[in-house]
Amino acid sequence: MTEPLLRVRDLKTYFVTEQGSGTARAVDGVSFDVYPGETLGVVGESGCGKTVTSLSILRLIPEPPGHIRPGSFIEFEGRNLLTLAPKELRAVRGNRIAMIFQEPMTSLNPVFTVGHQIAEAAIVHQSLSRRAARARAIEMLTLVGIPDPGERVDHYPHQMSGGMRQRVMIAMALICHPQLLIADEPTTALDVTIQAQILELLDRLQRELGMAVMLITHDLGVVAGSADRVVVMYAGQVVEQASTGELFARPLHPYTEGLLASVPRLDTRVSQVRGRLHSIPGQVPAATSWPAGCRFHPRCPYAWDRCAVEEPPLLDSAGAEAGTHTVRCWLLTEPERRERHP
Amino acid sequence: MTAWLVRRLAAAIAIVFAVVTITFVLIHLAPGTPFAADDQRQVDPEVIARLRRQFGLDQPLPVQYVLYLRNLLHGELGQSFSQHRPVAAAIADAIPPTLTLAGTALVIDFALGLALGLYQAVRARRFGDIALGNVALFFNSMPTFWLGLILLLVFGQWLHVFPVGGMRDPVLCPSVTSARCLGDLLWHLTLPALTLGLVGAAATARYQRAAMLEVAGQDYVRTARAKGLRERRVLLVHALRNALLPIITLFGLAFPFLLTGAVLVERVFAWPGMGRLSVTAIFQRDYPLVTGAALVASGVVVLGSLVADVLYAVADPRIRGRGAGP
Ligand SMILES: Nc1ncnc2c1ncn2[C@@H]1O[C@H](COP(=O)(O)OP(=O)(O)OP(=O)(O)O)[C@@H](O)[C@H]1O
Ligand code: SF4
Ligand SMILES: [Mg+2]
Repeated sequence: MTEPLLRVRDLKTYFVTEQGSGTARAVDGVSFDVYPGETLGVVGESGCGKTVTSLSILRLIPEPPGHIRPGSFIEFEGRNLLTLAPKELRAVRGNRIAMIFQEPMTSLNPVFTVGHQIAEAAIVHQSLSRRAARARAIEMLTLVGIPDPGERVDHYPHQMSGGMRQRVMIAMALICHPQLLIADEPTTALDVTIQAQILELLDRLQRELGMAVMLITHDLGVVAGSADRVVVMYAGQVVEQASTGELFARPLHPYTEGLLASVPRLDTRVSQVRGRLHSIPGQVPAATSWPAGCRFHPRCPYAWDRCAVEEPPLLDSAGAEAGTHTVRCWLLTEPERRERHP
Repeated sequence: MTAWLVRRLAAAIAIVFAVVTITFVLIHLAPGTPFAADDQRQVDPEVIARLRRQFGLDQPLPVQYVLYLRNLLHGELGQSFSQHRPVAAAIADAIPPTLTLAGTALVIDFALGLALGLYQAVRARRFGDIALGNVALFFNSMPTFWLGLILLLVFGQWLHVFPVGGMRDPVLCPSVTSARCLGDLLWHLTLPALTLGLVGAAATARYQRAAMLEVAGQDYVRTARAKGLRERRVLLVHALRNALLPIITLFGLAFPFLLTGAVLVERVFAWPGMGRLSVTAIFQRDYPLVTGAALVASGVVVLGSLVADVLYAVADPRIRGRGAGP
């Protein structure tokens, strides 16, 4: 197999909370790879650390209260991003790795025109003149399907709808043709019809530009439709990782099972798979006090004594090639318990 | 925008009118009269009665008020009782010194306040920020005249670095004509302008720090960083442009602060401006001069806030586009 483009190893990002309620271990030992040109889906309930993971990659965690723990490792194009000098880090941000955010309404600066904001990265990274960068910005607006780009380029964000703003964000992110695009729930804040359009746009641009996409989402339907591989996160950790087909056909972690069970029908067409991850009983614990042992055990229907005391490592699925389907669950060592369960 | 401007102007005129009316009524109702005998002077009651007739003070108050307004419409501010010259002339003499003092204080206020606030925001919760924050709080909670007295005592009385009052050396420089006299003016200006400016800067710094920190946590600042911009550019272009919007409102509020501050500071430093003029006029029950000064002061305050609103509308595309003011 080819070399990964991005290699995240044992990423730990903690927040020191002010009210003395302790340290929030928002991301707690996350590892995964992103290969060139692929789409990696990252799913999990609210608060499991998806945004913190993606912000950590570009070192955008606000410090304080946050910090990335020593021992974490994020390799991109052969270099550890966590130890890059500020100048080198800037050369990666917006240029080799770009990011679009959950909230298109607040992620654009209200006092600058969208054209100015799109062109900025090209001016900084490609040393384009203002004129040339503006022309590029108009090109990008055309590419992301905004009508009248020559006119829209001089508009301010407040003159645009949410869907348009997200297209502007995409144009801004892609102007330097990054190798990796991190899309953090790019459609969550949008209407359902607009969601589909934005996802199609991302799919098309990915094919045209040949970049890798890390697609973070709540929505299993989105994963099924777009991702090549999936990472399932729970309580600041990766709990299962597999190719999309494998994950949907043979989910092994009880949490993944729960997620899939909340989706109406798995064998129906992708467009009908629109389940949200809300129907697993119990609450997501607080990041300041993850449960001991397996972090999922208070909500797990299979849990037994061992689960409450011993934390399971990521284990290889017996049926798959090593490393292609990994699961953080003791059931993999005692599969008979799954059968005994009603 | 035009309709909005017309509405704002109408409101401004209404406010000035209200201030004039209230001042007129209050000063006439205040105990004491402009022409009265006191310990030093024995005045013939006949003379007092004649003066009262001459200035129309024997008329009922509503009649006096209507007469005053009618004159005002013709641009007439009346005669000052105490200065024996037109109110307009007395005010015209007092405006340049106040403008000099308040203008310098305004520059100190915003230049120092914005710079310190920005520095504090960048170093938030570190030593420099906390130290400056305490210093600002100290100046902020100090009455202007009190700070003025302290500066006067220390730098004027004890150290003799600055003059203890006045605007210029009456012998060497009766008026500013040479570079040396300009220097003399600046030398006299330093303490009063610092008094007003420092108190203002302390407030401005606190606002600027808060505005900057508020903006620094916004999503679009993170977007700017994610683009690979230098931290300087992120803060000084993307964040600062937004943080300056609330400061424009503060700019509008600086006018009333500077004028009220000037009243006290001018008195402490014997600065021959509007503030001193008003205080003297009030003590002498110089009705037309008090009302005239109130008219000018309220006009300046209202104009200041109007200018701030227009600046705001120009600076914020969300308001500029909509064509209406806040
Ligand atoms: N600035 C911060 N200060 C303190 N704690 C934080 C901060 N940002 C994130 N966290 C902690 O990190 C945890 C994970 O947050 P994160 O935003 O990564 O979740 P998420 O998976 O992206 O959720 P969502 O689906 O709601 O976006 C939160 O529960 C919170 O406790
Ligand atoms: S380790 Fe135990 S508690 Fe955790 S998911 Fe597996 S079965 Fe459930
Ligand atoms: Mg998130």
